[in-house]
Amino acid sequence: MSNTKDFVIEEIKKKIGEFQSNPEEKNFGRVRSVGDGIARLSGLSGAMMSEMLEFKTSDGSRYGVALNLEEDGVGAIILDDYQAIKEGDEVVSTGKILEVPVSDKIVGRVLNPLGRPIDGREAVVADKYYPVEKVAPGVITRESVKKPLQTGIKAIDAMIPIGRGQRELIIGDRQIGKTAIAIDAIINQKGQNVKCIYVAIGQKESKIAGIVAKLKEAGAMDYTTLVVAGASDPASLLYIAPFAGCAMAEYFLDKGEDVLIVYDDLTKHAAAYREVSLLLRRPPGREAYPGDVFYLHSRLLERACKLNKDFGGGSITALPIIETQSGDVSAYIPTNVISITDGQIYLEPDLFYQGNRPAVNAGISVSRVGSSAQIKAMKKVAGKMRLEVAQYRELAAFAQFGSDLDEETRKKLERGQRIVEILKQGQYQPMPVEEQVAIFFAVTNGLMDNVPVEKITEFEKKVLENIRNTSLDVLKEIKKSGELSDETQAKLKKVVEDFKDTLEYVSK
Amino acid sequence: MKIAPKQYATALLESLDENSGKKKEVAARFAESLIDDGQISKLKEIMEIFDDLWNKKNDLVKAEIISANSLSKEMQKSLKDLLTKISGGNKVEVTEKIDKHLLGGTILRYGDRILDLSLKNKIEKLKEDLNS
Repeated sequence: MSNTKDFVIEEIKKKIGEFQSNPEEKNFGRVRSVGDGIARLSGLSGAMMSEMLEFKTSDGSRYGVALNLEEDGVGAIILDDYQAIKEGDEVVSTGKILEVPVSDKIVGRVLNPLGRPIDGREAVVADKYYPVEKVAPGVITRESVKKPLQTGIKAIDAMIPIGRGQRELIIGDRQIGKTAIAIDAIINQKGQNVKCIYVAIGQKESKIAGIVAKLKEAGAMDYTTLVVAGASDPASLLYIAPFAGCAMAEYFLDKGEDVLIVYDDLTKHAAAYREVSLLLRRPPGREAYPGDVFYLHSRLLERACKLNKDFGGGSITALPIIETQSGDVSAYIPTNVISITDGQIYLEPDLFYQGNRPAVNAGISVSRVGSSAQIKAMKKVAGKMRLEVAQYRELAAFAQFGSDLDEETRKKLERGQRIVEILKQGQYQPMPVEEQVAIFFAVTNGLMDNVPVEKITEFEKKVLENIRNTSLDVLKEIKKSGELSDETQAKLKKVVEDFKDTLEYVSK
Repeated sequence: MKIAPKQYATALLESLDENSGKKKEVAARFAESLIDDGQISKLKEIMEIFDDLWNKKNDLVKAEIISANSLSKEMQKSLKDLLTKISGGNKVEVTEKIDKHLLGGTILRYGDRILDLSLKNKIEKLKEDLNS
């Protein structure tokens, strides 16, 4: 016992002996006015843009970021609670840009945008400090997106596939399932070697608690980090939250890993930035947003990329979420972010209330990476699906009026109805890609044409169970090779036909 | 039309310049005009800005030495010389303060730069170093 005590004392003595304290000259200023999370400071003539400032209050140190560099002073946002700061308090520049602590230990944690824990556990011991604002990787360091990021949602993986390194916007009205898509995508990354970061900006704390519980239940907290700036946090924290999340993602990117980052949601982020800008007396533009709100999102989303082998080969896939008002996608912020991302997933209220959930409108949703981000097997079976769904929707509107249709049209309608039924999916039930391939194979090759439409969902569940029980090797083959050989196709066909023979409700 | 505090301060500076013999009168008239405009409450702010402008015009640098214990005469002189050297030959107006909370050492402040050589600061830095 005394040995360890002596050892510890020796260690501390050694550390103290090695301690070097070099006197550093710092800029200082005084608080001229403070309120609403903003402080106006005099002095600090050498302050740099986005530099961290330390407010020396009677209650300890508070930190802020210099955002407005003016002729006779500095405007700064305060990152902690600003109640402790008084007029006349001293402010010292730290010489550092805002940074967050990163290490492998942030996985499974719930942190605030400054890297402090809010899950009640110990503080994160930093391996490194990554800057919150960073220039995005250049053209030469990047590579085109080829590897798929499986979201586990049939509608997306089939028709609007996402690749690793892509930015895909999830856009829709409130309560339409935007967060649900993101969470399902995170849950589906289990075993895929992808780290996930969920950045919650301005969300209700109760919603976050629910998400954490769900992720824990699904075992997703083993590879997910949450960065939370809740609805009651000051606007300055909401403003830096996505950048902090991206800095943490870049730590894994630099190690050559794949990361999925979800920004939920950027509408609240833009509103927080507007709040901070108006308080800093920056001139308001359209919808009272400051002039650089496009740059705000573009510099954030450009940091999501796929790096080539010379730079580690890692990737960051971004899923930003935007909430529209009454489906108005031509408002200022939605149009901005649509022009920045590599595609969007539109969620429509009409589809939602008709029972098609996820309410993805495949007609106007786009993935600019497209089928280069699909495994060959999926490309084969899902290639025509998007067209068939679009044609079905056109015909369905038509067919409401009469029942005298020719054989061609009737067949198209029947097939379309079945495909649409197949694309419905429950929440928190992501489907692995090989099972998706099996189901799409069955429906596009007419194997489900004689199953009544109301029984399709039940049939899908049972047939998958059957395939899992009887021909697990087929699924494994698809997963391993990514291809759907003629042999595999024949095997699948046989299994489905055999299963259908055992059911009464299937007409012959 | 609202007049900004900076404009008041500049006006005062220029009036003092032009009427170099009648400083007291200028000051009195200035105070009167502030009361007339209803801006007397901004006097503190205006005087702060005036101080900065005055210092800039006369190449004065305000410096402060805060120490935990009172300094000897030689110590004070050598610190003053150091401050004059750092500020590049400008005249230095030095005020001294004693603050027991520093535990030892001094804090030098000149213009808007600060050099914290206090023992309290060193202990805090040591704490950070040990914790990392």
